[in-house]
Amino acid sequence: MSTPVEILFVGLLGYFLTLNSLYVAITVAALVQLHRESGRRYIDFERLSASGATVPVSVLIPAYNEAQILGDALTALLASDYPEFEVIVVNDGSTDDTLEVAIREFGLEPHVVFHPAPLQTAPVRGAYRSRRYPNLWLIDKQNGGGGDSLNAALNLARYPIVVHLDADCLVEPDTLMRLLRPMNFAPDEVLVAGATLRVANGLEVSNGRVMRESLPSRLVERFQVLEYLSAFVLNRLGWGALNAIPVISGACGAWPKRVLMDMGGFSTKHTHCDIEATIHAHAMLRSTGERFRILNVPDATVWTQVPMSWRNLWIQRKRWQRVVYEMLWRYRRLIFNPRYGYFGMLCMPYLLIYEGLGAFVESFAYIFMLVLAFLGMLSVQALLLFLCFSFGLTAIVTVLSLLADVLYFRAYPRSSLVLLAVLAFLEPPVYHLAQLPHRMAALPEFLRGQRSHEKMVRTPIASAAANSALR
Amino acid sequence: MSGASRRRIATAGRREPGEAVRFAIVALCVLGTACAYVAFIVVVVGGHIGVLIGLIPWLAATALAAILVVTLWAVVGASRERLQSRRALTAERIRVLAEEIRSLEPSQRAAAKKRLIERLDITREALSEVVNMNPAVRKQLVAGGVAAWVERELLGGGSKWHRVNAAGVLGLLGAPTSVERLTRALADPDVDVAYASAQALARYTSRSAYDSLLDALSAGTLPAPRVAGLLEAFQCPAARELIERRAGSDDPRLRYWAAYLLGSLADPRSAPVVECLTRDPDEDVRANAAESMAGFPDASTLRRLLADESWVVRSHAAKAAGASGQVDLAPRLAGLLEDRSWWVRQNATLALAAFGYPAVPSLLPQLRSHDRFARNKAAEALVRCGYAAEQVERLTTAASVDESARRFLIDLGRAEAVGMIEIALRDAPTPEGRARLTSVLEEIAAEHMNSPIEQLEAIPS
Repeated sequence: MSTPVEILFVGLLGYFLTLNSLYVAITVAALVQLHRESGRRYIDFERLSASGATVPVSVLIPAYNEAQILGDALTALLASDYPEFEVIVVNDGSTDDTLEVAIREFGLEPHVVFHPAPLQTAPVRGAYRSRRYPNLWLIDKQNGGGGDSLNAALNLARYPIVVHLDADCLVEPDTLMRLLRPMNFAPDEVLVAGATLRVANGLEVSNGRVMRESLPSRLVERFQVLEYLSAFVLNRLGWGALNAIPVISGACGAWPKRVLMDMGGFSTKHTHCDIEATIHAHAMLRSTGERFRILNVPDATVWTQVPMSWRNLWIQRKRWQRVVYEMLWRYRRLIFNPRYGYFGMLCMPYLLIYEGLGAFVESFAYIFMLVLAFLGMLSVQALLLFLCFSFGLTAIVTVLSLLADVLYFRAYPRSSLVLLAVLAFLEPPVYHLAQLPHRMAALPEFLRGQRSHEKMVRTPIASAAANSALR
Repeated sequence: MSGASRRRIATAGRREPGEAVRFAIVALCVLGTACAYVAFIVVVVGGHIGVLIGLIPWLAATALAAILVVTLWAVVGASRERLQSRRALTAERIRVLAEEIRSLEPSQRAAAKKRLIERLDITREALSEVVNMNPAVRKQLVAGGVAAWVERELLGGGSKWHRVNAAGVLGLLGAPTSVERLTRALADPDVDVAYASAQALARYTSRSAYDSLLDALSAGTLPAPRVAGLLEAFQCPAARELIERRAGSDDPRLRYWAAYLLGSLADPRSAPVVECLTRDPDEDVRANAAESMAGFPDASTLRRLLADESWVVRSHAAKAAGASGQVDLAPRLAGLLEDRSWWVRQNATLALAAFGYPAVPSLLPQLRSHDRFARNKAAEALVRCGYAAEQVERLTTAASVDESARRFLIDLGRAEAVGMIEIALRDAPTPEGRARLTSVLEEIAAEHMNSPIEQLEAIPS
């Protein structure tokens, strides 16, 4: 190899090396954290859930065209074992019959509601309260987006802790109790907690309850099972150990209401308000010098629907990538800023180098290696070495996530573990690689100022499982 | 209960015997990878890129090992069924041990002790099953000195989770002699050990255990709400007396929780003590005592609390008034609709709505209050208690226009509850009823009222 080519080769290897080193470091931090957390399951949650001295919580659910799945999600949530909570659903100007379904299934009736509204939102058309569930409210408002809906719900929320939950998510009876455990055991600390998301596709659900966990049938869904395992079981936990979690997923997270109000509510200007809120909280709380923790709770499980087709997946990933650019631009002052600790010095640079630029560098690297190999300038061994560093180590980190899940949670049946382990090695060269063009396409969208949020096609979870079984 | 929950609950607090080995394998995989990285960096810096090729077999081996571990675990690893059978075996051992413990030779006792305390997490689970099925086992084990063995583990130098499980086992055994050890463990600097000890103490019914937990409320090592949560469920005959003693404490934290716990007990004999706490100099204590008054209905005390200088106290007193059903407090509560605090207004609204029709005479004048929020809240209470719906019915179904109902609905609209009238209009059964409601809406609109169900601005501070 000529010298410049060799330098480029080593540079690209170094890129993957540092990326995977970071993943390994996060994995180690996560495994240590997981080992510590596992013992904490001695806590008697049943008694805790019967105590009046738990922090009351408002659960906020923005819903836009969720008629198909809102019923399951609400039924599951209302059956939660938690002493005091209210549920505020916001119908964000749905064009389907979300409102009618909610009214019919939960006995909602119009209710005059007066409350202070410190957060500006799109006009509210009305409020409803359930005859059957006194703690269930619904706000009907004009369309304003997810952040706007959450702000409308925040205006009505009565309790000091709020949990935001996506309308397509299923909680388990003990999810709230587990998610809020940190707040209940450290009531004086400022804590933000995220739940562990798992893929709902393929579940057997009855009356809002998960009856049996099983793998979905489609390859695209199975890859996402692995991806979520990797992201939530280890990655998020590892960042949490460093107090540098970049995002508390909008699917489910618990926040002190005061922090959200101090931030001016959820952002309505960005495509996703969850990552904006998390980074905003890091920036704000570190600036004020307030002691805080943003963490992921590994045993608080929330099941969420993921795209069932490759096309929907690409749309989603392009949007996620655009959100990364939005955040990098919006919070560029945090990058490599020691004032923000691990978050400024590690997490934001990671977002910039590996999430923001990653798709371009990786695409270049793969093409470069293929060209070199084609021209005979790269030995087979060197190519294999490159693939080991780029694909092999990523796969090993995924397998470790699978192992950690097997050891500590056992969410999936044993019969599917071998399949998942094999898929872990196919994920980098197939699933990850296929995403690169779509991730790159997000940059022009971002530069054009596009902020749209395309709606994914939803199906009821139970029937999704039935569909999977038929295929 | 869902399958997932069952599984997580079934596995809670328990790790299988081979887990440490598997964890070590995982850790070795990770460390091995990290070492490979370091080697890579050294090689690149040293300029010997060719050496990197030598790493390929290692990486391949790591990958294969990872697959192998998963596969082995999946195929021959400790399944749930195996775990259950192992626990059953341990449970059987405990049963046998309980019967024979007093006649064991010293060497046999030592072996039994080792087996029991080696994996206290499994012992704890197994003991829980055994004790539930046959409570006599507990006494046999305690008489045989098992509690003393475990107490040493609790206060020994083992890992925190070992000590946590020791506390759990002691709670299941319920030996009176363990209370003192568990009480000492309440002060453990590790909050998990301290909380596990508190949970263990909460399984007792003894006075001394209850006393220890009450002291923990102000010790600061454990979050007081969690200790209070345990005390709420504690079945101790001396509870009232012990709490009342804390009500006279110099420590406001103890008085605060005393007020809360006395409210939970709702023993009429505690009424004078709670009443005394409502005069406490600390506003948080007064607030808790005020809320506890729901269990000791006393109109004069509640009336005083509703006029307290602290909005926190007024707010909790309003809540208590609603819960106690003291309808003669309605005029006072209606006055609180003009309070400066949103929470006071809100709780007063809820209390008045809970009173229902008896509160209507107090609410109607507030519909014309100079205070916009008071009007709002009065309207809300009138809607909540069903009075507004009744007026709509009267207006839309009567043979002739009921002027008082019409006037009321206009006032309701002025109080920004016009949405309720709009919905009534949509659902009105007759054209005549719709016309009457339309006329009401027109009159409201003519007065340049705000738009329907308008969101309100921030409360004036």
